[in-house]
Amino acid sequence: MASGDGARVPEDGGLQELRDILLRKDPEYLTDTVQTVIAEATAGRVEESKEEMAAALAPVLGQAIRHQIAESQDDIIDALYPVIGKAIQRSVAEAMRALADRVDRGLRSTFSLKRVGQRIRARVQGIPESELVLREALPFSVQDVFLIQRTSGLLLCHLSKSADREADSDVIGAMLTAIRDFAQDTLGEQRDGGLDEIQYGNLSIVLEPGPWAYLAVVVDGIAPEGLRHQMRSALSDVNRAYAEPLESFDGELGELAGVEAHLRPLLGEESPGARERGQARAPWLAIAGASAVLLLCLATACFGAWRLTWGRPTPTPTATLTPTVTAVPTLTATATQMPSSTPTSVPTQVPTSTPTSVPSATPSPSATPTSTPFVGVMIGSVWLRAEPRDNSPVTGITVTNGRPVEIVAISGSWYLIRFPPGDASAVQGWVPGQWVGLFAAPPLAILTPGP
Amino acid sequence: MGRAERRLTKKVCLLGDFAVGKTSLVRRSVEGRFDERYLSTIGVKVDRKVLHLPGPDGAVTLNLMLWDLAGGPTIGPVSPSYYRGSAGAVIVCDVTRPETLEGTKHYAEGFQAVNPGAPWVLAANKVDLVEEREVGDEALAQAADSAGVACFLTSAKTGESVESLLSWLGMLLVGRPEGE
Repeated sequence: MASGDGARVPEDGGLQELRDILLRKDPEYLTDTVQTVIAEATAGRVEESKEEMAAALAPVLGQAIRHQIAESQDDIIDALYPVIGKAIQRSVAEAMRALADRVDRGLRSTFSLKRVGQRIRARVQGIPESELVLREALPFSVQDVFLIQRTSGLLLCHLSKSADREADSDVIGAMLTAIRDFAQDTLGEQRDGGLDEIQYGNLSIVLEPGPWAYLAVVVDGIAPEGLRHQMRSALSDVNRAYAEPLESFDGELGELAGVEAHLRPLLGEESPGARERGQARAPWLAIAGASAVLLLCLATACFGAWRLTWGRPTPTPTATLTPTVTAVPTLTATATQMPSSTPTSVPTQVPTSTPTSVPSATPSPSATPTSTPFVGVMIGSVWLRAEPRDNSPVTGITVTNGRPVEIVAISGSWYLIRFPPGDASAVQGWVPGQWVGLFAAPPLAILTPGP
Repeated sequence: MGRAERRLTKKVCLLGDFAVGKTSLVRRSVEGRFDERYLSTIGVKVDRKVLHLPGPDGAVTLNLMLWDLAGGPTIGPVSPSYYRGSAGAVIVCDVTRPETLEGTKHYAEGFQAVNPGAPWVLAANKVDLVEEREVGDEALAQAADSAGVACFLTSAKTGESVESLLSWLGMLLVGRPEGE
């Protein structure tokens, strides 16, 4: 059918109006006419095909938003605030809740005496206890350790938790040096020192300069206070052990064989060399261990008395230490606070207000065998030192993060630790107390005067 | 059992005026992961070239850390701190621009002041642009002779002589095999 209702010819008046609209040159008239239907037309088109409309509008959306921000920034902020504000609020709340959970878990995980231990540690380290608890709750991990020659930027050693970065580590080391030089040239001409840290999101690169080489450590999370000290210590060891090859380094990496053993603790790993050395000491330690077992038996006899005195005013601890290191079991090595009402044949065992032996900064490892080992856990990887001080030589053995250790003695802020706990033949040495987490208040028997 | 291959790492600077083709020259043969935008930001981009060479005491695997340094009239002077610790350099000129050959003297002096005695080689680049070439072989030979260095006619476009140039510099750094 050629004609019908759908092909009706408009009436004369309608045709005339249409003709007027199409032929009229007045743009204002056209705008007025079209704008009454443009919203409906757009809505209709969107209803028909959202994809097509999105594709048509997408190229100009970014530009439109930028334009609108430039024109009326406040309006945009007001419009977005409810959405973005809530998103940020939720994100911060989640982060805080996770942190609070970690803190709570830390506080609940052990009996309340841990809190007492934390209080003591906080006192020793001179920081508020709340900070200590919070600090321990913040997660962090060392991802990469770079040892780089200072002038040339040549990579001397690289340790990583990720195998992906191994291939490009020398190029990364060189670029890092370039960035360091760039910062020094542009910002540091009038200042001492150099670039200390580069931060990117949750990652940071902590830099520690040395005379011939510098250390760069990539940290995920918030680096603990002691990390820089640990880096300085590792770098100092490297510079001391490899002074000559480092000073005259000409690209021959073979001259620096073994340097990674000094850096591995930074990554939270024990060096294979240290493990071997630890095993090599086993026979000698077995003899010392047998002696210590004998001492332990003697100490057991005093255990009941020790329990009775727990919590009393601090007796003078000097009586519990012997000034010499000995593997021979002697009665003087028994580190207990015998009450004066139960005197023994050895007068030096009785705590009195007058010290009966001279306190030593290097208490004997065999001086404090208690019947129950006082156990803590390492919260960082550190070298064992021969004496409780920073400049004491390292023993060549590291104790790694997370390892349970027995605390044999405390001298100032230094702990004499032994691992595995309870094994009298175990490896032992001094570590900074900040790296040992305690589960309980230390027994008074192991407290000794600071150096 | 043969001796283990010696492994060496050396820093080498890539120097020359703006747009002489330093970056393009090595782009084909190096392993790099950093974008060229670094050149216009901190003025340096580092790439790596691994060479296997005969050395005086046996085979050597040489890791050349190539510091591509932005420089020249439009970029500004190269920071001397980037020269530090360099074992050698490649100084590049553009054979279509005679003034860039003059510029090589300036780079050589600056480099030698920081690294006295460190070897370098001259790369006369863009030799593929035959029609536009304005620096002749004689001028290049004279410049190389007066500096006491080798000159290589290179093309970043075709890759001509780039490997030879790097191998030559590598040989200078590790030393020649015995009997050569």
